[in-house]
Amino acid sequence: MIACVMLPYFAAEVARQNDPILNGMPLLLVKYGAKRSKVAAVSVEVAQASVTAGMSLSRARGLCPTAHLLSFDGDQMQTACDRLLRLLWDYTNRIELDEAAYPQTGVFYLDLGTLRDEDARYLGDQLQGLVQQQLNIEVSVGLASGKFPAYVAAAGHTGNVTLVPRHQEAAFVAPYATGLLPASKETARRLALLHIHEIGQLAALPREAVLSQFGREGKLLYALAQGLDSRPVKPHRMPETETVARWFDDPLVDRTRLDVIVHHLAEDLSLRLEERNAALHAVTVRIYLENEQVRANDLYLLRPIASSGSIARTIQQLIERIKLPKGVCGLEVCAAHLVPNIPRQLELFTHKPGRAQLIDLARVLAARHGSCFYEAAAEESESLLPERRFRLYKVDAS
Amino acid sequence: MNDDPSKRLQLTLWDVQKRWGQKSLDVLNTPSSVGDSTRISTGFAELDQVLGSGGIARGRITELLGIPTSGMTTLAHKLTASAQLEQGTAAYIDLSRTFDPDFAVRCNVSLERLLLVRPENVAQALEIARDLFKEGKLNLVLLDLVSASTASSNRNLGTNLGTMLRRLHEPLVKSGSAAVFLLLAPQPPPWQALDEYTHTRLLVERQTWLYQQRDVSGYRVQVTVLKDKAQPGERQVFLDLTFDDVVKGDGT
Amino acid sequence: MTRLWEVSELIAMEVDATGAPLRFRWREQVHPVEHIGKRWRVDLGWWHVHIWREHYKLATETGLLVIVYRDLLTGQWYLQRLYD
Repeated sequence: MIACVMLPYFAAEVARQNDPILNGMPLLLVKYGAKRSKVAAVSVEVAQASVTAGMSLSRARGLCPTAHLLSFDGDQMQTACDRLLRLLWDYTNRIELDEAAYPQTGVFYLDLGTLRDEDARYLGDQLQGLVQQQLNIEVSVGLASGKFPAYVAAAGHTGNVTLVPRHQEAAFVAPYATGLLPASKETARRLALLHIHEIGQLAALPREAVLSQFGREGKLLYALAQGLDSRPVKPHRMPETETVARWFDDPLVDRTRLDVIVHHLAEDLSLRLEERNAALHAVTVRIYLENEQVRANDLYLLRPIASSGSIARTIQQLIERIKLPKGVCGLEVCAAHLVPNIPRQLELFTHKPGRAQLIDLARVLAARHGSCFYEAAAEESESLLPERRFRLYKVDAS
Repeated sequence: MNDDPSKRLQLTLWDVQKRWGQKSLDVLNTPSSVGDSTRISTGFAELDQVLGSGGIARGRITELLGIPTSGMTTLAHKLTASAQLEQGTAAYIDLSRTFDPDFAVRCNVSLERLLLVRPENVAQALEIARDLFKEGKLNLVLLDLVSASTASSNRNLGTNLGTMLRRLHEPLVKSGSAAVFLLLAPQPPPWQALDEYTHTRLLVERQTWLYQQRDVSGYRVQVTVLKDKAQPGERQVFLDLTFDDVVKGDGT
Repeated sequence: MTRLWEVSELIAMEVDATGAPLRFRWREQVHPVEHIGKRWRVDLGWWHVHIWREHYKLATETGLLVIVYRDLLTGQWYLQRLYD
């Protein structure tokens, strides 16, 4: 199940939130260039005058002379985007930002895995409520088996949560304009020339005809017109890192003392990651020696970690590989390749039945025998490839 | 993370549901138990009837012998599903690394209450099984040792196998769990050390294909009870295994 | 029911004039095909990671019931599932 969370006039609304005096004004956000200035985004009032993102400033001003010009603030938008992603990462770590629509419209695709319709609807309501409450921006949510029908559901029902019933995707998208398809400018022009204005019209054509007319792009558009979209959600990654460090007035030579420091650093790092709801894939350890040398080592982990115990073990592993001929003046640990940390099942219940007991047992045995314990969960239950229907997750000792 | 406890609870319930399905919330409200019965149904009434215990015995070893496409894996999955009734739990020690979650689910195996283990070798598999018996929490521990019972892998087992089996037998008897060993037929020589501990030995052999509209929809299987301490004497039963078409577009 | 290989096993397949499987070698044994049941194609992800396979459900004279596929991009044959 894919959720499309759509925030129309995203950049304009963010600008208004940061400066309430702009409320009610027709806004034109501009990317000023040395030679040419372009429209980055517009408010609803300016859009009604047929001004679109990407248009030249001069043409835009001709269409809407009363628009208030504002320099597009990329940092401000990035902050708003990050804030929204942090909210959405509570639900899934597979979230894709539609770069083509950004920043005019905020379009976020969430891969929610396998869900029943009523659960999806419930979750859609939650998502909409949460985003509207936190950002004070009108949000539409579309829910469907693929990105495109979810997008159409969100775009076609502003301010609502709309679920496309399974196997009815083709019928659902049919009456909508072909403008919603991700077609190139040239393809859009040719569709208009051929008087193909609705998605259903495209879907009704023979596949071979569409392919011969529109080539490779036609293959995708034809599938989308049938309501079929198996393009995966490409997860958005956090670019930043987290670094913790300790410096010593007297160089450390005692390894026991160094181990204690390592544990403290691991706890600090784990707390930082928890605040960001993140886990790390990569760790770099830098050791500063008293002869002003720096020794470093790094490791990329196959599975992300976030607990202080796992981080401490990784740091110790890295330190063991480094020769320390002199005393240690400083120790720096950097966590990189951060990914959202999906909440694991919390022990909310006082008794330990069935599954929870099984996982506890697995963790105890994993500590003894190593990581050869797995749990299987449904992944793409209707995939045509049997190896993709389920996924095996390792149960780690922790 | 959200500080509101009710929001966290809501999110956690959502997470549980998302990962393990709505049914897992029912699991979480029902304490599990190893079970009171002394046997576990094989999942086939005809086979239960010819077994002296009326199924496979708890606290004992059952051997399933067969060759590829004999039907022994299906029988193993049905046993697992049976062991998981009334919120029971099971472990599948997959030394062959060919466990198919898709078809396990079609045999009514609950993945939520199945621990999958992929050890490196026979020794580790038996060590882990022993620990699972000592914990005493599972209804069934199934060891898929088909890959371990080939001629080449048997060369490395030596005399250690007898020792390893002896070490796991006592905890098994005390545990109340059932142990099932899947092995290639005929029983490889090193594995004859299992003989003194085996309570029930079943040989599974495919007989004929079953057709549905020119497609092989399954096959008839003969299960021979070669050994049964509860009821001595060789007996046979025939079972029809058919494979349902569940996923659209998949030729299975 | 079936055994599934996470990474399907490469097999050496002999085909007839129409390209249908005749016999294959798997784990040092030759398995002549007795009956071809279902046959279907999978064509996924052409814009991303293309998976294009022709699957066959085969019963062999050696008593196996398997699903094999031919990777139509490379021409190689694989054993994906074994009914057991």
